[in-house]
Amino acid sequence: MNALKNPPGVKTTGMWLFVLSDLLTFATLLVIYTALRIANPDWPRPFTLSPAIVYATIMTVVLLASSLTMVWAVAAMAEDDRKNTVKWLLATIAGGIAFIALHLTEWRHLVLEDKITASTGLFGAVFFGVTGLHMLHVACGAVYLSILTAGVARGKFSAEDIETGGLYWHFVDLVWMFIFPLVYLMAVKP
Amino acid sequence: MTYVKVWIGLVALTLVEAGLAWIRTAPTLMLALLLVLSLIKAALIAWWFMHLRTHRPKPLTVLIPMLFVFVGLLLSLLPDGIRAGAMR
Repeated sequence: MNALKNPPGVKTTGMWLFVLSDLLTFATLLVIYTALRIANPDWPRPFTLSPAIVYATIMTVVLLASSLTMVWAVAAMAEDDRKNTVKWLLATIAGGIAFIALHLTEWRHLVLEDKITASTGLFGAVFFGVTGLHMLHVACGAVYLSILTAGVARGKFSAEDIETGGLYWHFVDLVWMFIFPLVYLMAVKP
Repeated sequence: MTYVKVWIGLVALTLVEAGLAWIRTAPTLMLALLLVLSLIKAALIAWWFMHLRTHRPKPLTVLIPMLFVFVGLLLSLLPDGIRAGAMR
């Protein structure tokens, strides 16, 4: 665990800068979403408690679980335990893929049953814009972690490389902690 | 073990958030409570999972530019924010 107590290197500092700049992108989108929600008394509230909110809650728990496995991957790599690092990275990727699969199922429900698409008004545009951008981040994270996993299995990459990947993954998780309540829970059917 | 405890805390807070929707909390109160709970969850993730506890980026160079944008963003949307009390 000594590697975790060292000061951040160039790679983690670079990732922090990326994370903070990307955080501003999501903050802008979510502040605008919330301002629109407040300013429009007739803002659509399409989500039923079951299945929509139950689904979104499960997605949140899955993403949180993938963050836990990512922490374990970082800790294993700090101990130079490559076997367990690969195991926990694969579990994290599986969590990311499960999140995307659940998300697409939920999107499908919204499009086919509630007839809401990205072009059916302000709600659809902002909803699919925010959640779509987040899903793209999860997909990119899964690819990024897959590259790290393949490298670790071949004896490449350092503990800082895995920690940098972890920072990205936790950031994606952190952003969802705002999307879930502001976009889903604030649009539950009255 | 600490990480597992943090994770359980995060899941519990998520369930509290979903519970607020379940009991049909009034929108204005719900928005305020959800923002507080989300900030606590984000802080837990950053502090424990992102290792802010032990690895801190240089705060002045990184955080000050972000603070300016954040304050500007809030000010630009203040007129709409004032209407939050009338939200349905």
